[in-house]
Amino acid sequence: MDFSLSAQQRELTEAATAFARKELNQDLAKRDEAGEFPRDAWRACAKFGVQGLPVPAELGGAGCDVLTTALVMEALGYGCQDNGLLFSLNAQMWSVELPLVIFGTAAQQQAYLPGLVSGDIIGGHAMTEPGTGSDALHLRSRAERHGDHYLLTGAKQYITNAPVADVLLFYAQVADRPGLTGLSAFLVDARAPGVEITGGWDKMGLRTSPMGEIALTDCLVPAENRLGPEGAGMAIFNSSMEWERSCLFASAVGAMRRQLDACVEYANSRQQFGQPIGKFQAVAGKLADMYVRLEAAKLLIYRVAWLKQQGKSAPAEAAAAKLFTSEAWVASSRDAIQAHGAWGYLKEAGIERDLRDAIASTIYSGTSEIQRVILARMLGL
Amino acid sequence: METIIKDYISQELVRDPELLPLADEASLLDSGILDSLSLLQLVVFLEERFAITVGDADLLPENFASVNTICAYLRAREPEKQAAHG
Ligand SMILES: Cc1cc2nc3c(=O)[nH]c(=O)nc-3n(C[C@H](O)[C@H](O)[C@H](O)COP(=O)(O)OP(=O)(O)OC[C@H]3O[C@@H](n4cnc5c(N)ncnc54)[C@H](O)[C@@H]3O)c2cc1C
Repeated sequence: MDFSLSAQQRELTEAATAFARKELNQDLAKRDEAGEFPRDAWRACAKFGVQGLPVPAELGGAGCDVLTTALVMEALGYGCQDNGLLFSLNAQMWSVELPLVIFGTAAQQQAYLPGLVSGDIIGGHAMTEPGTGSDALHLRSRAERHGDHYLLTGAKQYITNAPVADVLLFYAQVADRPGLTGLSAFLVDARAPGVEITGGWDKMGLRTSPMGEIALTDCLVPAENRLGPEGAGMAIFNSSMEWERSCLFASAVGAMRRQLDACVEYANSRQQFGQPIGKFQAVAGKLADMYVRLEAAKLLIYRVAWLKQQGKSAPAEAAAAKLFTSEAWVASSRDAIQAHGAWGYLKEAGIERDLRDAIASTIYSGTSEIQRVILARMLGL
Repeated sequence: METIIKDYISQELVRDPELLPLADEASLLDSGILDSLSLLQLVVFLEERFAITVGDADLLPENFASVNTICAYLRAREPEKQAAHG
């Protein structure tokens, strides 16, 4: 087992952190308050190569291996305090780009991947419906085949990137094919007739990541826009969720490292009772716990990234990495506020924002409860 | 191969004893024996037992519809596996 980073990985991660610090944190407090998506930062990320990291070189990406990609996303999480921007990027990378790479035809890949990689177009993954959240596969959206087209009808909610999206990966049940054999996914142009997207939800955190509702009413989609065969919907959804659970949370690991650094610095400089607060065991112990959580999350993420690189299925490992990292991020965010006292509670300090952002991570990509359900089943319970 | 797979599914994945004994052509999806989670359990088992990797794009209902289709899928993978082992 070799835990050392290669020279190339070290160079890339240092460059990513420096880039993030310089270009991704501008006006964050203002943007967070206004709930504003940073399109310029999105473009800057594309120029740096973020969106192209997991896309093979022959399809316009950087073709990075899974672990290197996770390391870069962690480095961005360390340098970039805009967790909303990183969440939007991750959502596109793992649940729009990767499905295209794995399931797309050459024509579909050519049509969408270059634009997604260059930052010219933005993608969203549309699964959740008003009646189906955790029970995602029992959706109500319908696809009716009419010659060389499908007519899609259905409603989706809580869709990341929807208000700024150009393309949506929309899941629907093909009429006359019941159950999993009919569950299918379609690439839908967000500006096509019959597509209505509404946004403007006032979220607790991840406020720079736009989220919206989608209503499709008799939306005509060419059959060549179906991703994979009819019935591939479950495979596509499971695949993208496993990728998200394996890699999206690398950015949370970076954020936890950033929090820990800030806490150590503050604990060494803030004096009470005539000494730095870090000399009090209760404060030091909190920071030690933050370190343990960070290291454990990191190892879970690196291991699942390594397994994915071998082409192995890793449902249990991905669920464990997701469950632990998201819960650890929430706990570390609380500890960071506590260690900073009242200063940590003020918006001005920028520390409370991490807690608001972190809480969502225990809900998206499958809630913590659902990760435990997956793990229980994988354990044979 | 049929026996190994049938035994695993019967012992580990079938929750309703009324569905046993399992026929090779019995539908695993329509009967609810395989759902999105038990399918993942089965895939992990197949990867370990037959020393293969099952790509995400192969997790299609047609490959996992019955014991027969699973075996057909695995047999189609044989030449690939032999090539990989030189
Ligand atoms: C920030 C954010 C971004 C999102 N982005 C997207 C996106 O881009 N695309 C998309 O399709 N969806 C997206 N979602 C939706 C997300 O996938 C769902 O919120 C999630 O799957 C949970 O569904 P729900 O909110 O309907 O909760 P419900 O499923 O209604 O669950 C409510 C509560 O019941 C619990 N529960 C439900 N079933 C079980 C069970 N079997 N056992 C134990 N507990 C259970 C849950 O854990 C939860 O605590 C996003 C959500 C958030 C918060």
